[in-house]
Amino acid sequence: MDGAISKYRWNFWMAQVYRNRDYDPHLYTKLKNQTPTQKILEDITKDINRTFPSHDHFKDYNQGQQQLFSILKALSMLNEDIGYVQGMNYIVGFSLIVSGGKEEEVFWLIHFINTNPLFQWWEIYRVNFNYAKAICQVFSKNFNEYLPALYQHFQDEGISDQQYIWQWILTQFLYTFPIDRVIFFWDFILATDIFSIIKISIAFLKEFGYELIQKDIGQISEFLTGFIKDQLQIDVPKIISDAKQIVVNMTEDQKQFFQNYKPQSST
Amino acid sequence: MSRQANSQDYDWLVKVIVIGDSGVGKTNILSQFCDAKFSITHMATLGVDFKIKTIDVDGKKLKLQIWDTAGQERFRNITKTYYKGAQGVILTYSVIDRQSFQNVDGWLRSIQENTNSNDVQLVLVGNKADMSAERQVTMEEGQKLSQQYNIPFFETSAKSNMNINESFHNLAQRIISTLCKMQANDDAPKLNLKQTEGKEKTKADGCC
Repeated sequence: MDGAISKYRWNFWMAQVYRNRDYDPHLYTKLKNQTPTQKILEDITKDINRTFPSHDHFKDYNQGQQQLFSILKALSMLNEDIGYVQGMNYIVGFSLIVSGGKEEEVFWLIHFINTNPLFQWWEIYRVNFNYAKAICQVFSKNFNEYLPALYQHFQDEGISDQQYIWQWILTQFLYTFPIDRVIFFWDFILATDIFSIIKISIAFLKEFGYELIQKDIGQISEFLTGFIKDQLQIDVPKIISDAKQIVVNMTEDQKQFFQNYKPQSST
Repeated sequence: MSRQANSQDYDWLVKVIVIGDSGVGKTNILSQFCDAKFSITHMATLGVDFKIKTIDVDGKKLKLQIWDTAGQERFRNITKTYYKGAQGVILTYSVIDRQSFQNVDGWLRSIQENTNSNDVQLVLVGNKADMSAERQVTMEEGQKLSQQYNIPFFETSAKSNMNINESFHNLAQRIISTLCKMQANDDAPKLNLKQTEGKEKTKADGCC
């Protein structure tokens, strides 16, 4: 299996994304004491008890939910013009689970990923979603090139991006896939760059292409929403090794977009 | 790759969307109606999810394609692309969330702007009616608003399965009568309607 064994995984992730120049030991405490707008507080509160609600770490309004609340609040203060957008709760919740509840470290892991030009993770959530849409478009181009028959089938059936790839981009796969699989996806993503989301998505669709191409829109939707989480045997090493073989192609415009993309926030 | 559409397991295929503020219970309304399930531990909806349910209305088999949408305001621009081609809308607020009730106006405007509003049928639903201790919107207020807009209204509880079927059946009945009228008007055979639906489907390509 790729990546570090789980006991050391968290430290390994932290070491991988650590950016000394972005580290300020007082920042998190400072942010924790600030209060975002009422609207942001309400939006965060709505999602606190529906983020991995069945997981032990978040079961009651215990430490886990409070940690989730504090980190989301701090991140929304730090990235004021992005605020809080659904999807962030999955990322932070998952990181809390993997870290074993290390609140401040989770904040830093995400902040480092956000400030890293290879990821600029929080840009996905910026108003108008231009960054997320651009990733989505690159995905579509590559889906069409690598798996043309399945791509056409999805088009014919009227499968929407919002039913799968959009959810995978906004939650780094957490919306659809079980946590213990996503851990390995993240090993790969954190060791590479944000476009690995596209590689994993295509490798996954390839792995189940034969099944998917025989299904209609209702069945595909069922497959993507219910089936994967509960029953599906996903051969993670195979998907990761396939993903590694994929070269993400972009049009000139797409290349330009990502080369010239500048986050508007100053942190 | 045989399409089920050819096997005639239904008379009509219609598209319904469930919209309303974040956290009002859209997903639970849908899972109660389609799967007789209610969960206090489901995850917040992102993007769109999709369910199918076939029901009998006036001796006709109606196959409902129901789209569940993310409620957060930030996603409104994206989810509204799904309004296109919708024949029915379940517009939901929560009786324990006053803001979600106040936002009904905004949702209605959004429907008017993004659908062919003469052909689309609506139901206004005030969900979580079982939580009487936390109620912030009275039934009278809901009724008043629905009369103002001339939309059928139900207070529902996805948890106790109160008025969920009734809401969908009310909507379905009015969709059928609209379809029958349209059919009578242009004398189009049923097949044509389905083909229109098919074209609509391929256009629902979302964000990209």
